[in-house]
Amino acid sequence: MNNNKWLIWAWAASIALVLPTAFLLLQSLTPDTVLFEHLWATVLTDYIVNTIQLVGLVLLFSAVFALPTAWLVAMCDFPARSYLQWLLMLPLAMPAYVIAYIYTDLFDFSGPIQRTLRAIFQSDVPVGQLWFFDIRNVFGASLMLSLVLFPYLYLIARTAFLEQGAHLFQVSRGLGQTPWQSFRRIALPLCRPAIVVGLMFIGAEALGDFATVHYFSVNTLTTAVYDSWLGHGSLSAAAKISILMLVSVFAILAIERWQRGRQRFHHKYTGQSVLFKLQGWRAKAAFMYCASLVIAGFILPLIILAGYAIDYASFATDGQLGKVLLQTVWLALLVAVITTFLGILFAFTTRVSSQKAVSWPLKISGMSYMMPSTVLAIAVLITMTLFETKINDMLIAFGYDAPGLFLSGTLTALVFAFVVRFQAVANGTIETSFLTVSPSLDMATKSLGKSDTKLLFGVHIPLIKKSLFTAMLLVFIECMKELPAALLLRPFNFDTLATYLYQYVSDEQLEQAALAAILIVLAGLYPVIRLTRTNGVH
Amino acid sequence: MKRLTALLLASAILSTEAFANDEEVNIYSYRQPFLIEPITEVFTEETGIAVNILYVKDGIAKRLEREGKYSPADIVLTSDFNRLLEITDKGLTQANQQMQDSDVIPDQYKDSEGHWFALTKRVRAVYASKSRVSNTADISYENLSSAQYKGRICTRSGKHPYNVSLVASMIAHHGKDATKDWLLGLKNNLARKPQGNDRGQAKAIKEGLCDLSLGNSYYFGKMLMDEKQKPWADAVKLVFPNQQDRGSHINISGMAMTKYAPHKKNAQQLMAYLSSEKAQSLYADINMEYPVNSNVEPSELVKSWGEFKADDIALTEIVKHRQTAYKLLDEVKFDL
Amino acid sequence: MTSPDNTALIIDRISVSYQHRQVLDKLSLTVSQNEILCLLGQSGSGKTTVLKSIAGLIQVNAGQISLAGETLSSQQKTLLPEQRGVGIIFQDFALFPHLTVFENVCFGIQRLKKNKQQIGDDLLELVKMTEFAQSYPNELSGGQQQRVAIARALGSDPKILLLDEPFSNVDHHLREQLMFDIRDVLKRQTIPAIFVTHSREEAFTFADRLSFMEAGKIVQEGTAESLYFQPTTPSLAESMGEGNWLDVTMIDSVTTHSIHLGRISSTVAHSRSVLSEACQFIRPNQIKISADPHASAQIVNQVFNGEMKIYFIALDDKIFRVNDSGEQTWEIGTKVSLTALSHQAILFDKA
Repeated sequence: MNNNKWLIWAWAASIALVLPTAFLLLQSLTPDTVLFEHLWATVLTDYIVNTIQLVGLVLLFSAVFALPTAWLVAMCDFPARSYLQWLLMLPLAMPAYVIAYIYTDLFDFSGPIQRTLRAIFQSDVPVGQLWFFDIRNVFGASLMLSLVLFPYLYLIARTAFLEQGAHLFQVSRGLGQTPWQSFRRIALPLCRPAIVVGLMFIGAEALGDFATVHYFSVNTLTTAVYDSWLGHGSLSAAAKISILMLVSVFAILAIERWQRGRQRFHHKYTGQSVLFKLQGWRAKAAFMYCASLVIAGFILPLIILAGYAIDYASFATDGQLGKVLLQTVWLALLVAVITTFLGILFAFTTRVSSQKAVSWPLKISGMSYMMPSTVLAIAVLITMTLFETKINDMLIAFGYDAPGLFLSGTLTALVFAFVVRFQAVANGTIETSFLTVSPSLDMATKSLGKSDTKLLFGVHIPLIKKSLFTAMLLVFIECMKELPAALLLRPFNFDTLATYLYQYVSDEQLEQAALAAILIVLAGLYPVIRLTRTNGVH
Repeated sequence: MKRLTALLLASAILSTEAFANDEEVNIYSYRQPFLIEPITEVFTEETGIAVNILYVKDGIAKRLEREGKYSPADIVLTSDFNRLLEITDKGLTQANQQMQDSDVIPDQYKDSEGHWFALTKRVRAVYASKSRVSNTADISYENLSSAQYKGRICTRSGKHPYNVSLVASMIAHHGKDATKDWLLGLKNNLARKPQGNDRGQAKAIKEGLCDLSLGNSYYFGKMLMDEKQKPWADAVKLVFPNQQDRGSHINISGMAMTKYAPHKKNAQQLMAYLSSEKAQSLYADINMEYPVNSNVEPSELVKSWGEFKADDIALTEIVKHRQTAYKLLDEVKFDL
Repeated sequence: MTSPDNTALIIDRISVSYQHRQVLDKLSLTVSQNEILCLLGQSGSGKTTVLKSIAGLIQVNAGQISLAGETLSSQQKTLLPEQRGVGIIFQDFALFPHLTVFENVCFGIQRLKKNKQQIGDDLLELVKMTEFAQSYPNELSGGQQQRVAIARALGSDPKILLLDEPFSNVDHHLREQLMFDIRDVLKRQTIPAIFVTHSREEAFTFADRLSFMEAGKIVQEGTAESLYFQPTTPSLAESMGEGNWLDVTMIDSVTTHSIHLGRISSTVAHSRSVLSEACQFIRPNQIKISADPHASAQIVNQVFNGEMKIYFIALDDKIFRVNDSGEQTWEIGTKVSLTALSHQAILFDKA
């Protein structure tokens, strides 16, 4: 294939991926101010405040969870460090709404914690009325989301801390700064680009969360979009709100980039780091902090789930679960393969072409990650149905049988939406890995008279194999947990573990589907562990 | 890799290309499949017609509108009356004359034009603590707002369809202003902010947090069947309110045939089955609901809760006040 | 050598082991006030570990380190790196990439000092970097970055400066000027320094005194000349510059004999017994080439490096390296005879 063919494919794929977003943008321009103004006058401000609070708190909590732990395992030596550094990744496998359910149960007035407290204090004082027991609010929802999202930032920050090398930190201490001052003034600011990337992922997840906020009755903008479309029937208002969200996110990212200015961080630093050996209470505190996050975000919920599964063993498995598990894994694999393939296509096209404009497919195709998946699913559904209706009408006009909803009524819709949503995840990993391959290798290969195809398959892919694997794992994990898009788009007789589980959660009967929840966690566990391995955690 | 992708994609499309088959019927359902599957399985065994259920959390009406005449859905199942009527009102259904002509479902529980049919009845009941509430005979929705119950009542969110429906029925009986006062009084009596589901309220009563709560009748039955939840149910008594006057508030779950049902015959067959004595007694036994088919008795357990008088106001009358009910709940900040 | 009251740093028999390997073995050294000491040695000899021990970046197992009369590290106490007043300069400059040049320089200036701005300006002027105050490190060349790093280190008033291979990432043509400038700064500020390198040229240009390390120990200390002309180990001899190894026999106290070069006379007497055998190390400029068509030696290669010509000459089974700064040029293939010039002989026992 020559340069142009690669380019055509890349453009075609990225246009397909951006179609739903573009459609939404067009819709947002159609005049339907009535509902939008009504929403604005009544609930929208509350929703905006809720959304800002939710995303803000999730980012804050995630940073508080992820940064110290990443720093500790990267730089310090303390008991069980080598285990904790991969255990800290495990909460990633836990869906947020599952732990939301479990902790609500735990902290409820009639839950074990309050019951024990009442027993201890022998009083009927409604301790349950104390604010910190009430987790059915923005604060609780943020905490639940952060507990399972922080590993994204942890993973990225830990790598960034390791890559800083030891010299900068040593110089800082030589200049009279304590370890804490050095962390605050040097290590942390240096990690800023990595932290921003991590927080961006987490923010997008929080913004798009549907099940947890719904369970806690916290109305966010995602709820508003959902309501305007399904409740009030206004696609235009839904689109306006979605675009509003999208624009604000990009504005924030642009401000961050502008504020960072001329600083450049992409520098390889050296200096063999010596782990600080923590002693006494410091070692204990470091251990406790890391361990408590692993326990709260993973071990405790898993134990409780196992308890449910045992108590409700009679409700379990009508034989469905095995089928659902296979369907989910198959879907996740399919999406992982497609996104990785497209990621290679985009990154490679950008690399071999000298024109600047060529990087656009790469940029555009990643945009949709910022869009809440509920919104995305709506956009996919509507775009596809419009297309299908046209095709059906046309075929009937020519005297053929109507094929029906051959896209939105089949798994195609689901696969497409997942690819649109998670393309950014694959792109990020693959793009970075291409940067690590020296351009001289391309020139050398070309000078040996080899084609682009040979360059890609003979040189690039073998060199970035590990990153391709990482990209696939990341997408796989996301697919296993993804709920809102699956809920809206899955066809008849197809369930993912998440949608199967959600029918029970929505009836507040998680206990009966505890086994499904455990399966989601276990299926996510293998890729999470592989992920930590391939990213150099031993 | 490309060949692999193409292969996977092709199989993705093929694997769900099932609904060209005639021997099937497709359901969009607001009710969780695990509640209906045991009943439809019997239907498939008898007729050989496969039943495909798609659980849709929200927006079935929107979905049918969008899909138009190419929609694969034949039947819609809903868990409450409001959403059943939403679909009918939007002209997304068609009459099932065959069902309309048979008289297994009493007129009160079906559309006069044959567009919708109720399947089961459920009572918006009150759970009362066995140990702390002695006189349950004169409990009514109205007196839940009286001062004697201050700090003694629990409930789930006011905006849950079951509660909205109850509030709408209050408006139908007493008017908007009186209902607002009632809501304020009820809110004042709450022991805690509305939260959880109906079962959670029984649990709270057992823990002594409150003495009374609103709860659907069938949840009470379901708790009795669940070993862990049985103690909660044992701690409360199921009370049918307003037995002295108009009777308890009733909601229904129901069904309708879609306008463009591709498997109309099968759909009619399934709808007939669902209202038949066989399916209705399964509903009664498995889900602890009251069957609408007057030839079918409730389950032994449900019968043991005793006879009760039901509010016989027309359901269509209640639905009219749904939006007002929603507004009132916002105005009194019931959930906040 | 140095009077005790003039001594800035004293390292007294320190041992360091890292991952079960003895890196420093009872090493001792001293640095005087206003002295630049160069630690020279091959990689793995433990040079960098000495710097890390002084800076407190590595755990010292035994021995004592004191600086300006204060104990930094001993069996009883260990000061934290930030309490030691030790400035470090790394090969990779280690400038903080998110701060401007000026912010980098001011990083270590104590917060109490009011005239921070003035101090920063002065430091930049000292290293001739004033015009780059608002630049970011990535916008500077290697040499410029190292100047900033020096200024930054001086900002915290260090009692000693430790430089770890500071010039190896600096462009060759800028290196010498940078060395002169930094040396000048250190001398003017009267700050003692330890400087680690494996480059002889850098050591000679930059340091007052040299210590040569091998396997965690200092094997020889002294001026550049003494190390060059009187190396005490073969590896030191090689580190100080190119040379040719010869098997020799002692003829008398000032003469040795090689089968290749014949008699070699020394300007200084050695104490080896007559007729004993030894290895002699002879520098390329201590051999003289003369044309001789009957000789068995033959020029196999020649290189001109700007100052002199370097000849590679095959003789029997050996290749000799000979520097010649004379006018005459011998073509490759020319038959020549080699003779040793009289010099101070460098002799080692046979391995």
